[in-house]
Amino acid sequence: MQVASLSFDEYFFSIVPTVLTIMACIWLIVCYFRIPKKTIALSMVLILAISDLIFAVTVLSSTLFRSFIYERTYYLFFFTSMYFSIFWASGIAVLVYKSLKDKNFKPIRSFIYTITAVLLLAALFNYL
Amino acid sequence: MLFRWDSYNDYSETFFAVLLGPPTLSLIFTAFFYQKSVNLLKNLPDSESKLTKFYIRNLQFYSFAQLFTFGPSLVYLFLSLVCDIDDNVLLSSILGMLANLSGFMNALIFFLQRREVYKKASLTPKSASAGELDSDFDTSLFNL
Repeated sequence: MQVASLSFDEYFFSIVPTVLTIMACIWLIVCYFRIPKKTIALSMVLILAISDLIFAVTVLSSTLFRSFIYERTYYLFFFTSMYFSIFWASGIAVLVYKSLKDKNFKPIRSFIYTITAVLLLAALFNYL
Repeated sequence: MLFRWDSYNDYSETFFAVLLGPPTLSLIFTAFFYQKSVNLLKNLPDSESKLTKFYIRNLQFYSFAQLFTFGPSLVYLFLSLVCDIDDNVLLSSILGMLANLSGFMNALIFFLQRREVYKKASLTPKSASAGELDSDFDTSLFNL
């Protein structure tokens, strides 16, 4: 694949914020693994960071390598990670509510159910 | 800005199902459960409620940051299908930049809230990493 020549706008509005996001997501992931006690709240942030990282890498790849836009994997990664990030916002709200409501809250099980539901929703909207 | 009624009819399914659907649905869910969580918090004892509220507020920041960054871009995508705003390169670029900054926004929230936790617990990042923060702020789900 050939690297595209970029205009100032593309650098300023696309490359710079995308690289910032990639660096920030990597920092968040490193922070997660450095903290000794991992909690569900932290895992929620980690999932968000991974999803945003996939989205940002896809955007960067499509800006640098224009031909990537015409590939099927571009649509798969771009839209699925975007929809997942959007729906994960609700996932966080649901998990917080459940933890407050249920005295016998089972975080791992609820976490797995929520992430599965969000993944399915993202895949469904991607399919539509 | 001229509204293209014909295009609107053509793209009405896209509008509801693909473009505006996810952020709107997610916003409704997030706001609904956030409101319910706030109501539940009122029943908690004051000592626990203060700390829990702090963590809930921070977690909700992540939710709303995601919707704030991706939502406008998708609304623009829809508008570009039904209205004459395709030529507005600046608006398109700014909204696109917002979505590209989503991960950065979350890292910023994480950084700021971690600083606030350290301040509340009168700890330095070094002592917190040694595990002191965990013992002081052991509230299972919200412990950061």
